[in-house]
Amino acid sequence: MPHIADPALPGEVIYTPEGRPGIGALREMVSELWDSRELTWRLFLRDYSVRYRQTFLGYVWAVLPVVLTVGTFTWLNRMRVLPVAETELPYPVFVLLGTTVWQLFAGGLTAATQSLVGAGSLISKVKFPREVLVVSAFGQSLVDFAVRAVLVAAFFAAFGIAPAWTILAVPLALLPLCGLCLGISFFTALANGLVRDVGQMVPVVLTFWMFLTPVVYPLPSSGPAAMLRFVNPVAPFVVAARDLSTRGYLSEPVSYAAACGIGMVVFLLGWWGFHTVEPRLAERI
Amino acid sequence: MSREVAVHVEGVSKKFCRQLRQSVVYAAADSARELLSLPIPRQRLRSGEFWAVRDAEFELYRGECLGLIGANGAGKSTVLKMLNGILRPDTGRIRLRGRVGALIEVGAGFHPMLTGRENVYVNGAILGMSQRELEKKFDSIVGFSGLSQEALDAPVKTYSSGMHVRLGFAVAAHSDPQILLVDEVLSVGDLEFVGRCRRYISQLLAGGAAIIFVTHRLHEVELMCERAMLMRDGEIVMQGPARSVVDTYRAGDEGADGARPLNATWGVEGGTAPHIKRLRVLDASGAEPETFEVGSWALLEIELERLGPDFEGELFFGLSCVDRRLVTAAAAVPWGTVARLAPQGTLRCRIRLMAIPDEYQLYVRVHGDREFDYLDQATSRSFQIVPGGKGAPYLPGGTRAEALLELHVDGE
Repeated sequence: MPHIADPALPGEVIYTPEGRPGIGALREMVSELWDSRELTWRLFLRDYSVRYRQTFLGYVWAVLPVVLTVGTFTWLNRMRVLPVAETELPYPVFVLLGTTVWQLFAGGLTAATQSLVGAGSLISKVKFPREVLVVSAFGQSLVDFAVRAVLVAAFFAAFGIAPAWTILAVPLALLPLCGLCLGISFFTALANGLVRDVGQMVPVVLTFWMFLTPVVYPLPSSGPAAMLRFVNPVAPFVVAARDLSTRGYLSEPVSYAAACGIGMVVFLLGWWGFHTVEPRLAERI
Repeated sequence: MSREVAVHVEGVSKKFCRQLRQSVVYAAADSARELLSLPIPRQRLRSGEFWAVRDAEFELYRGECLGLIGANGAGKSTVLKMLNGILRPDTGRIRLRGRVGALIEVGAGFHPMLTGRENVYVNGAILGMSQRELEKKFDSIVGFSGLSQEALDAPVKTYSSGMHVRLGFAVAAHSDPQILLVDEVLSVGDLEFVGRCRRYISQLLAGGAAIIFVTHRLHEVELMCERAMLMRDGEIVMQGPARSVVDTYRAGDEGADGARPLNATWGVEGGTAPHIKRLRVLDASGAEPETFEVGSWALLEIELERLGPDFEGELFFGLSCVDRRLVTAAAAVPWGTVARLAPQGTLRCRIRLMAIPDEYQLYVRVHGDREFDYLDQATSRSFQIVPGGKGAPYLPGGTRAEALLELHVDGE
């Protein structure tokens, strides 16, 4: 398609039917995101301060579902209703670590999927990069993660487990997981704007996905289920976070590296797709 | 004086689809094509689509206020949204020089649970202001909004719609736009606030900003714009001096949406609209002269009937040149002031006639607060403005108006 190469004068903005192709688009994406860092932060603070404002329990809500999950699975395990293979860690700590990582992904994806639809008149009335909405909604999941980290510390103390020093590297190790989550969210947030089925579908898919992730059971090393580490890109992150918290080394470096690669690719693809398609879809939200 | 173009619009069109499902299918198809870099059918309409805006062409200069009028659904808001970058045009090109500010929906993005204070920061950030800029301007924003400190610390969900608009406008007004897009926002605040907004807009204009102004309150276009555009079914059907465009629209060749006197409507709602019985332009001796010197003061005597105290609106003054039908200058007085100062029904004001020598008429209109058109109008006898000892009229900027109307309501 012929793109009219008509350079804008300094301080001039040009709107045409076509978006900017190729490298130009990438430069535009990065500079837009950088220019809107303050806005992202503001919206993040807004959502953060509003979230528990009309509640009694406040941040207990970030922890309560996790505690219930851990309690339920521990009980099921004790009662031999849902026996799982022996874990190196005490089972409650094992489940807590798994759930904390899983919820970073699942909670972020759920919130970010609703971010565009939930923005209301902002999208149809104000001009600003819409990526900001997705990113700041995902940010709430990081806050929850931080709150749950406190719970993890409490469990470690209660069970007398000494964490490995590599536990400090866990946030860094989970960055590609955030990329994966954002990449998928860019897609689902827009798709949900178009057809609301997506917003309904995401929690359903996540429920199944959780059981295909080694959250409440250790990843088997043989058999068909062992394939999960390569099929499910979230699985290696759960394993890696546990390894770094207690063992001090990565037991599955190959699948972890692969998952990191997938996370980055999904992030870039999702971001690029969002940026390309968003102007056309935003008007229908 | 060379005029600098701030907005340049060429061949811009935008199509919409009314059927929700179909529009979703089209959006998905277009998006897929865009991602794969395939051509998108932009020029032709697919089934169910229509042109919301078709081949719009216009320019806007610095220091100019352009009125955009037309019936509902004529495409006015779509044009503004494309200028704002919210909608992408399907054809054509828009060039903008300068920071764009929009008063399309003020206070969009206000979170009901947050306090006014917190929302100022969020909304400011959405409009592209930095943290430091906001801190510096915060007091000024609050001052402009006229909200009390207690109101400022209450959640926005407790605000009235007027307070909401005041705060939203105050934030938007501080974003220093060089191009300002205004869509119907001035009709919500009370008259005092509307006055403040008008002053703000004239200051922006004097500072070289360019403004596009969408409204159904036609007298506002006459009051604030020198040029106007009339849209019908997505097309710009007329561009020209504000008064003549407004008159064309009013004259009713707009079909069913044309203006008509609304006295009847007001009558049905209980009470009757104020009526102007007589309008006289007098000199100091109380006579009705045929000539005034440039810059001299004329006494305006307006006899009114049915000064309902509950009536909301304003009294609008215009000076027009007899053969050109151009509004040369205008002013407005809120109805509350009129009712207070003329309890007996006779309002006296002094008006300073500063205009290029020619034959003129003064006219006065009663405008309701919400009505589409004026409720009553009276026109004075025509008179000549002649060069006098006081020299040529002082006209600021040299371009904006051919005349100035300085209005003093006695007793105010």
